Amino acid sequence: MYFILDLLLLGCINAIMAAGVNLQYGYNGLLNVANYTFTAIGAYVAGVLTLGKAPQGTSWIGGWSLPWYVGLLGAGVAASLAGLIVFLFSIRRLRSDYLAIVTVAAAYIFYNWATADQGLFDGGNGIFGVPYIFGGSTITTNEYAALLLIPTGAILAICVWLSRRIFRSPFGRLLRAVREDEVVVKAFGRKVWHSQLKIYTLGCFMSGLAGAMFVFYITAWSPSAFLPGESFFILAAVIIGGTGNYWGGVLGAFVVVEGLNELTRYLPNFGYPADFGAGRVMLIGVGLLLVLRYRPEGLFPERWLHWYERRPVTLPVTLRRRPLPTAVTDAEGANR
Amino acid sequence: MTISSGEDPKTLLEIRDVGFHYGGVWAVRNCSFNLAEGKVTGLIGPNGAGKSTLMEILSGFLRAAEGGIFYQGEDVTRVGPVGMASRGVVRTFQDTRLFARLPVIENVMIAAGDQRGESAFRSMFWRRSWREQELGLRTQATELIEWLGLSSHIYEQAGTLSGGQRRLLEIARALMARPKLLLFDEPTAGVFPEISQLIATRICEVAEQGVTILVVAHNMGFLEKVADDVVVMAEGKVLARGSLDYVRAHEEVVAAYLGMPRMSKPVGE
Repeated sequence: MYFILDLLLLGCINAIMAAGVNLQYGYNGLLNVANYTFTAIGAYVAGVLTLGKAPQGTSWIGGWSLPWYVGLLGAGVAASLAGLIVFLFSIRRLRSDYLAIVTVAAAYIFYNWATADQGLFDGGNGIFGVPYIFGGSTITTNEYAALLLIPTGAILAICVWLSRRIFRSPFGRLLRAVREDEVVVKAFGRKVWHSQLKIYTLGCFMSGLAGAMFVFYITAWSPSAFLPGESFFILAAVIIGGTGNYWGGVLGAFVVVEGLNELTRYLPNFGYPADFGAGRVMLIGVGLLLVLRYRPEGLFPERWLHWYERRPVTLPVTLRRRPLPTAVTDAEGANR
Repeated sequence: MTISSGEDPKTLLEIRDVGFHYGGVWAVRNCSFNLAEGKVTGLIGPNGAGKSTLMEILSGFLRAAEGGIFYQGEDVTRVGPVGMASRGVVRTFQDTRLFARLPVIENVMIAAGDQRGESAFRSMFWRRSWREQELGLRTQATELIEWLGLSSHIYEQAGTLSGGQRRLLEIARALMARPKLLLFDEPTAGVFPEISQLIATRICEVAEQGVTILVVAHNMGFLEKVADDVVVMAEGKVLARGSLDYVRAHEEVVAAYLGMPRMSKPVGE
């Protein structure tokens, strides 16, 4: 039972991360290779906000024993701010292709900073003893996982709902247009980086929320939990699931991160345990290659979401316009 | 001597001694001419004449190294593409640039300006504020697509269209932006004659509505149909301007096209 709960809970957390990455990469083409770093920032901030003072021999900032929902919100805000800083260092000055490189640098900088700075999050030891958000100390691990599934599932549902709303809106259309060709979007009078900034920070916010739920679940966080390579799994989940499709990331998170990672436990063991772990990563790599080769749009392609094809235009008569070209027929026309 | 912007009320755009160089090689130099409001002006010249560079400068993607550009009397020499677009200057591209994975209708709808639903907050939490506008835009886009003969492809991904259909879609997208000045960069390049004919017809219809159009083209038959007059460029400069018949008979133009030595006759109308 615990195995299933654990699988569902981690699947939901990964799916929240994937929803954030899908907003950035799937909708807008911003390759965020440091997505797991923003999750880590969220986890640390949620941890130190809800934890009490650091015990003897350890040290971390915060320690104010705030309610869990404050920690959750703080995690999202902190991850967004970190995303904002990374974005301002890269996008404003470089083309978005280079964001990937800048985010890798940011991931290593934060990883080394968190490891080396004892006063921040207790360096390599990390934070521990994050209180359960439900049930106090009497609750069993099983019960806690079951209860935690409710807010985690709710957050995932909200993230997918927001992604869906964005996709169906003119803002979503603008984001996808920027992904396709920034130059043309500029030629139609849009400041490309405005939309990129908004979606990038929103994606980081979701990663931060995922980090908070993660630390509320495992109750500890340290640099070993967010090795820079971890981001690869979330990116792989989004690509395999289907970039640009809000269901794709969720599917990918469950299939790739949970499915491949967990179901391979049942494979016959061989060699050293380290070999076995490497074998799982290789399996994900092969899966990624196969999807890119045979289904480059992912398992759930974006084009499946072209919802308006089935929706007739039902306009009030007052909104109907005269036949086009409308370019100059109204008061703001070219003759002015 | 150039005419001061604003003196002639019919001048929409004035290009005054504009120059631009790529790392020391001048692509456009001492280029001057005006665009009269509501007219279609053809821009022709041999390869490397600087036509496309001039289009880039006029749409704000390149900044003139010298000279000035005046749009409705305003100096827009240092205005970028976003600023030019907001002033009603809309362009198409020499190599069609579409949003390949977006459906045709979205390619057109994106061009409309002042879309309330492009706010992140409104898109998520306040749909009512933009829904009616969106439906209106959708109707307009549908009509434009029909007008250009693409209605059977309206929900297809733009990347699946043929070369001629892509050109038509670019035109639809440009018109959706409600332009005052349209810059067409070779709208009939690589296009089937029937579609080329349709494009010519539509351009004439748009011009009749008062939109000013500058069109780069190599197809003289096409220009004969659409252009009121023609500017000829060679080696970054304006060689001649006038009716198509006039420039056809112009010795320097003939020399530039056929690669013969230049005559000493002064350039001008």
